[in-house]
Amino acid sequence: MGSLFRAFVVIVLVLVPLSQARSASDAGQFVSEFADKAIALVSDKSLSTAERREQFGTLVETYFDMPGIGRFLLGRYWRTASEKEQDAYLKAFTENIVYTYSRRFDDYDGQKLVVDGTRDDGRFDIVSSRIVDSKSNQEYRLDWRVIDEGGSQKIVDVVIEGVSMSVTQRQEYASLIQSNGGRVQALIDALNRQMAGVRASDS
Amino acid sequence: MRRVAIGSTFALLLLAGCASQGDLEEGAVYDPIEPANRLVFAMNDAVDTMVLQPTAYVYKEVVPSAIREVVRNFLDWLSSPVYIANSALQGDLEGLKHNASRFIANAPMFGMVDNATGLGLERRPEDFGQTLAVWGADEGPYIVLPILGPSNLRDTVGLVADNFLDPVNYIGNEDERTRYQIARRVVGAVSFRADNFDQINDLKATSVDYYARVRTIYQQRREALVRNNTPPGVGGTSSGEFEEYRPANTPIEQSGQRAAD
Repeated sequence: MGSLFRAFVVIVLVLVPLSQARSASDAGQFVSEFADKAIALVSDKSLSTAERREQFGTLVETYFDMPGIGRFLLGRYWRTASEKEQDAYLKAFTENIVYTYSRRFDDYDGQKLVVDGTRDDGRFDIVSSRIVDSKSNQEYRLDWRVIDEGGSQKIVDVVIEGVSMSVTQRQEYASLIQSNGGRVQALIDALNRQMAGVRASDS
Repeated sequence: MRRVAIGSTFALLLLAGCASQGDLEEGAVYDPIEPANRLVFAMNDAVDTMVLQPTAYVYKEVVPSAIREVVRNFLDWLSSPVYIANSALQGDLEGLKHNASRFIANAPMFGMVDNATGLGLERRPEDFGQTLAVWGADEGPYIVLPILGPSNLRDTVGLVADNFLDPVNYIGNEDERTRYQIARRVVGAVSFRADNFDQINDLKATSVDYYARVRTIYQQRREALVRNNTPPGVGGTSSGEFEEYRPANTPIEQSGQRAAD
């Protein structure tokens, strides 16, 4: 079934006029490109942990629409925040995400990313892929939401087994701000506190 | 015992009828009893830290991963009758065939070796909570159950109903059944915690509101299971909240102003 579907995708991509197929296949390529670079980085044993994390941060900021994601996660509170708060939040949020993901990547152990196909979803392309872990015989479904506006592609969300990272964090941030009387500063403080905690437990 | 279970099922169903979801922001979870839920959540979290996490750690470190895979497969196979019954109740013939074939393909080794996945028959868990969703039931208010963890009204009803669908509950005496079900759930919890050890610890360590994070993850995961991991609205879009997404290279509106949308 899976291979049949892949064969079908290939045929569609070849037969459908190139102009239409272009953006969809590009999104799949864009995601594989990111995965390849990330895996190359994590497999490079000549780098120290600090160097690797720094380069990983740069990679994430190149392929992900960090400021756009940051704004999206804050939802309606973005408009109520002062400019100073917006800047402080974006800084804390980016640092937080990059650190979290690069830390996750430290555990990398030979898993592979297999891109299965791409579908259109309004303004976005959704790239479906799987993480194949041959050691533990497990597979995880991973969907990537990619936007292509103004000529440059960016990843805006990663969905793991049906759970969207962006939606999850958006809900979490909204809950925290709500229980603090709508103050965005409370979220900024919490993000900074949480970073300090993770850093301390790390070293 | 059984009469009590039936009684509570009906009580919950009645409650589900009364509960209205009110005005919710898109993607938000309906959680009218949040303070009580947070309290139970904190207690569950303490049990996790003090009992489950250390046990799972030992299990993960001592038992080789091949054996842990056998445990995982066996537990899943034990649920096969419930998966099959619910596929049938959902009128999902494809799922019924899928789960019945899985059950038979793995039966020679009592489910301990998962040959079915290699044959293209991946795990496809179905429970009565999902069946109710297919029948059109709302998820109802979010509920954190003691020990059992995150749930909602619909899935709690499903949990009770699934007991009636499990053939094991019609064999042996009540005492044996209870011991079997408890043992199965405990092993299941340890196995799940061990398989996702670092992920769960990370989830906790990197959150600013762990309760809210688990709440939305539960909702999204259940929704994906109800849809059997197929994309929502075939042919349509699944953007939902992403409708309002504006990439960074579009002009950023100033604070205090409203976008003209």
